[in-house]
Amino acid sequence: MLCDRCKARNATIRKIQVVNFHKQEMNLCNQCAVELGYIGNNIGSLFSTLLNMDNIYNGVGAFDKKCPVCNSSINTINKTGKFGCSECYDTFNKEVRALLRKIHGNCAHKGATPYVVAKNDAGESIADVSKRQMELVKLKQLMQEAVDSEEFEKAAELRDRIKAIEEGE
Amino acid sequence: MSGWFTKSGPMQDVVISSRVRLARNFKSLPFPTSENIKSAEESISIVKKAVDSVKNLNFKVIDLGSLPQLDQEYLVEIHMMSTDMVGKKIPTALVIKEGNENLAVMVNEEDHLRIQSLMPGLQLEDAYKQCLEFEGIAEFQPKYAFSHEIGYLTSCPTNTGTGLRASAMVHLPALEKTDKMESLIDQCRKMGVAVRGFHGENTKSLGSCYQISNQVTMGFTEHEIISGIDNLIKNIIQLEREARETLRSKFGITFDDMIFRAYGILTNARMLTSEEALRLLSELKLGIDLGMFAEYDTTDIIALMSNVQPASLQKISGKILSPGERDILRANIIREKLKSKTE
Repeated sequence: MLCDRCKARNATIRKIQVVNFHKQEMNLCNQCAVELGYIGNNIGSLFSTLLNMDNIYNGVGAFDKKCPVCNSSINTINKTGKFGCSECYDTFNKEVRALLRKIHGNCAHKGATPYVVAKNDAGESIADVSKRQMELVKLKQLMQEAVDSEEFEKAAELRDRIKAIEEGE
Repeated sequence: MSGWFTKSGPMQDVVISSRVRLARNFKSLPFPTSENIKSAEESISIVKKAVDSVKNLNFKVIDLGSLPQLDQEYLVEIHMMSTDMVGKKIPTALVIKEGNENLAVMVNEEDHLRIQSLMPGLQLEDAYKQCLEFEGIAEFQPKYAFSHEIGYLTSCPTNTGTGLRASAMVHLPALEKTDKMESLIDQCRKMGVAVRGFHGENTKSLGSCYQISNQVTMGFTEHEIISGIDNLIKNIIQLEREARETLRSKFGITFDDMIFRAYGILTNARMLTSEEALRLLSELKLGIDLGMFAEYDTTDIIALMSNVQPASLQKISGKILSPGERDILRANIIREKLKSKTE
């Protein structure tokens, strides 16, 4: 399919917009899409390119989507390059994941989690005592819940983990 | 506050300091970047309450709004906080630990918490452990914005995941003089490692000092990130040490002359600008690290490099100084310090 605008290059991007209550579809090549400002053309607009991609392809009105906590929209995030609050990660989940993959090459956290003790190569705890204590509190709570709901297998597993941590101290 | 830079550390011939920073935010509270005054106040009050709950750990919260401008600039110069913390529209605070000049926590910088530890020489793992002491305060645990899939949630997506930035400030005069920096920076970039000039982001190198840090914060454990940077720095130390030997054997007397000229100016000049002082101190440090001046310790020079910055000078003299007055005081301090060691 040729680009609707230059009629010379192959169209790679579909832009759907609503004008005067009529849906219009435009098929554009990359260059024309850049010239019309639908996508960015440099690294500085990495954010806008990625965050807008979905809208360009699907024509969904994600531009109108606002974060319920901080009221950020794709537009305000594009401008600053920063999220407004932690809730934005949920609100713009799909766009965020594409962005994280682009920046870090993946979007799967492998590091420490709250309450859980970080480990070094030898498997030794390198966190401080207060953090370890918090993990014990949490595990004991989970164990109690497992006992209450008669999930004894899970409770036993938790008991072993608690024992292992206590002996490690 | 005596400052981390007055202490000696491992491999200080090349590594000036190590820094680990953890970014953390509180759930359901707009990030400081949204410049919401109410939520900024709330994050400070969460921090105060948490610090109160662990009185035995001796953390102290300083409201930056009540701190004189000069003191704020001083904290920036000694790298205890970032330039962004000065003159912010929202309330900000700095948490320090009494009896430990390495730890500083910025409240309401770009994230609610920027926990950082700075240590002399190459000590990244230890710096990380110090951050954990604050990060692990039980009071904070249920409040952190965290997702099991993508980790700690941060204002900027370049920090999401571990929120961890491990960096080392390295002194690379020989790699610079042998034109190896460009290819080193290029290689580092390919590995996802950033190389920046003296004062962090957007600055040029001053006194041949570069900051090297990880860019990727997700998909790796904290230990993997830290040991990755640690190994890279060890390789760079090796390269720099080799380049120093090459430089000295190749240029012989010309090399020695450069070092002694720096020494001559530093011990005699009556006025020194910040740039000139840093350049000459960097050259003298190179000579000391090659064993040319037995009477000096490389840590002395690192302390001088920090002490002769504008805000630090004014802090020492206890008053606001014009640039000209600063140049005189700077020359005096350097001269006295260097002379005191030879007597």
